[in-house]
Amino acid sequence: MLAGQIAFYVLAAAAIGSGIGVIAFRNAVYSALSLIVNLFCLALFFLMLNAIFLATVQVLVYAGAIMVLFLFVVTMLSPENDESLPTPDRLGLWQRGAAVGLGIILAGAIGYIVVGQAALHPDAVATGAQDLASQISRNGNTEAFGQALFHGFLFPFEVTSVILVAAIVGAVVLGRRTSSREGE
Amino acid sequence: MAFTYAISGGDWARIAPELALLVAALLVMLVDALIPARLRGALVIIGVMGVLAALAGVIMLYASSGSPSAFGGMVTSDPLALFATLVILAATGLSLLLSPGYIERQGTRQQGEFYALVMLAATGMVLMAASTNLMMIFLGLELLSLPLYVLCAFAPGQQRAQESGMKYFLLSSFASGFLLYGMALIYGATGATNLGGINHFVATHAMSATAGFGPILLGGMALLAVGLAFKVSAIPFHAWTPDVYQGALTPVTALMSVGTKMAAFVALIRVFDVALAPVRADWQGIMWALAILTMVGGNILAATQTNVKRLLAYSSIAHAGYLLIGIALGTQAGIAALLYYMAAYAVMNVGAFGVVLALERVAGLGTNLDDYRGLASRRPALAAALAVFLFALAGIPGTAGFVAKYAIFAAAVTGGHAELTIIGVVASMIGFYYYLRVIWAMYFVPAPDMPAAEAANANPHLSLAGLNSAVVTKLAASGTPLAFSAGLALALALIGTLGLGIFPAPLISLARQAAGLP
Repeated sequence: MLAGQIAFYVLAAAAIGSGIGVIAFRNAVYSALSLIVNLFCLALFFLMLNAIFLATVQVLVYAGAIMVLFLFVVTMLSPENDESLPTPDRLGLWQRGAAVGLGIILAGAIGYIVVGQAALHPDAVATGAQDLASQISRNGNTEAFGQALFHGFLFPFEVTSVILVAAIVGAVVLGRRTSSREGE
Repeated sequence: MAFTYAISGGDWARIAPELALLVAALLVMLVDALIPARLRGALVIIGVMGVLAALAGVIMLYASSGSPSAFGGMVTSDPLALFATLVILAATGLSLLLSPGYIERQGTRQQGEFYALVMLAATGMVLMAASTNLMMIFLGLELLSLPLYVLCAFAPGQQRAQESGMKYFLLSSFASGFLLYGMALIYGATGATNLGGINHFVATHAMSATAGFGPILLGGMALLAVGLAFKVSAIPFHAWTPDVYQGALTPVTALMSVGTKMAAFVALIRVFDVALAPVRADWQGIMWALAILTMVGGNILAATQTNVKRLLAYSSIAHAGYLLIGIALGTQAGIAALLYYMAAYAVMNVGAFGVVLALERVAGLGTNLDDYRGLASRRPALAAALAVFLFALAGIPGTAGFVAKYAIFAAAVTGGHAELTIIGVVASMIGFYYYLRVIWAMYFVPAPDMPAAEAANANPHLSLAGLNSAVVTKLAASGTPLAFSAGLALALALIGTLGLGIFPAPLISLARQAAGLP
């Protein structure tokens, strides 16, 4: 217990220190590197809370993929380097066809889930659907996480996808306007 | 907590209004990609149909029986959520109707995206009002905020619009951080993100709470209050409001001033007045102080404005102050009065912004108080409409604003906070000054080049040639024809403003039902 507490305070100090680093460094690359340290500390916090799956995802997604993206943007972004983006008005016929086909598949999948009402995993029901602790002990961390995400917290999860749609539309609006103004 | 809640079809029916708005948003984007550019103005029809479909959903849910809760306590369709949805739908529908003509005039080419973002923002507002879980409140808030950031910066090539969008984005994200940290602390203190669970924990531990979760819960409540107070633009978290409202396209401003407020006030009601009711002593003082600061400060700051859009922005801050009385009281009567006030505010405020919009030229020109001089002789119908809306905002009897103010002040007196009523009435007196200043400018101050304008009105073709170019521009501006849909929206808002003032009873009973009163 004592060792755990010491580890927590060391990690907390590192997390706060690197968090300050993110906003204090004048060089954007240093800020991004501090953010990696910060995200890594968070992953270790999850590990200390026995959330092994979350810790893994944290490292894979945030400290890995998203940080690489950050560094790419930081190093490549230069205002004068403006390449003309392909305009969506010039979609090829096969793209339209593919869009329609994929759209039908998506509609079918959603219809199946909504109408078919995806049932709980039998294991989850057997171990007492209400109790997270027994879920974890019986089925393991990852499966309990999956059950929670796609059953109890399915609705917030779905709403997040709508928020992402809004963000994408917003990015398209703001991004396209810049290029069209420069074209004038 | 049900981590393994199995979703059934009934859950989806409980969020019918949200689904209708979302489907409309997606349809707008889909149709936008398929039709030629010159037809894109017609996309507003899909938006309006989405609002009507959502309205049908609300009526269906009012008629339905059974438990209103859905998705394992994530959202609800209780009368409070339905009432808030009605207000948000009214604001969205009117804002949509005001948009055609105006957004083309402002040089907007991406109409499809504009309407899609408006619908997505409305979805977020309704969702936030229906949320009974801290996570859902946050997600609803983000869903309404993200489209609004973009919509604020929508006017192409206008610095003021970009300032508006950027300012709103940075400050609002910062406020969201406060909100989220507050939620995390409340979860840490109570072990629940579900409002029912929080209420249960607080109620059972309230007496023995002084040692254990006291500071954590207090900190969480304070941070949550900051985040939500920012969204309703209560003083001292109001500084963004005038700049953002002035720079944004006027239909967006109208939607924002009503929809965001309604959603955030429902969240305030659910979190503070319901879930945290057992520890009322801890937060009531904060809300009390916020209400007084916002009422007095908003009205005093509004009195010094010379731009009508900024004036209405400060007036919306002042109205947030009156509404905060309903939160500070913590009584059901206070909540009912707040809800009625919000409905009245929706029609009169969107109406006022609608007239501003009809008179506005490109890049926010024509919104200064000086531009309104002599309006009564140039555009008598618009001037009369604006006068009614401003009288209603000031709270003159016979309008919705009077009934709303009366209800909320009466609730304050019966709730044992007569001092809030006294301060509110004094603050409204200051409010009279600046609303009447606009009306005075319209009716009793002649326009600077009145004789020329009159001559041009008498025979435009003959006399236009002889006028200097400044006057011609002015005439062209004041003569912008009102789009049919905008006229319809103004007429509806006018009917609402006067109707709610003369026959307030049905809506009051609906508001009382939403607040849990018989």
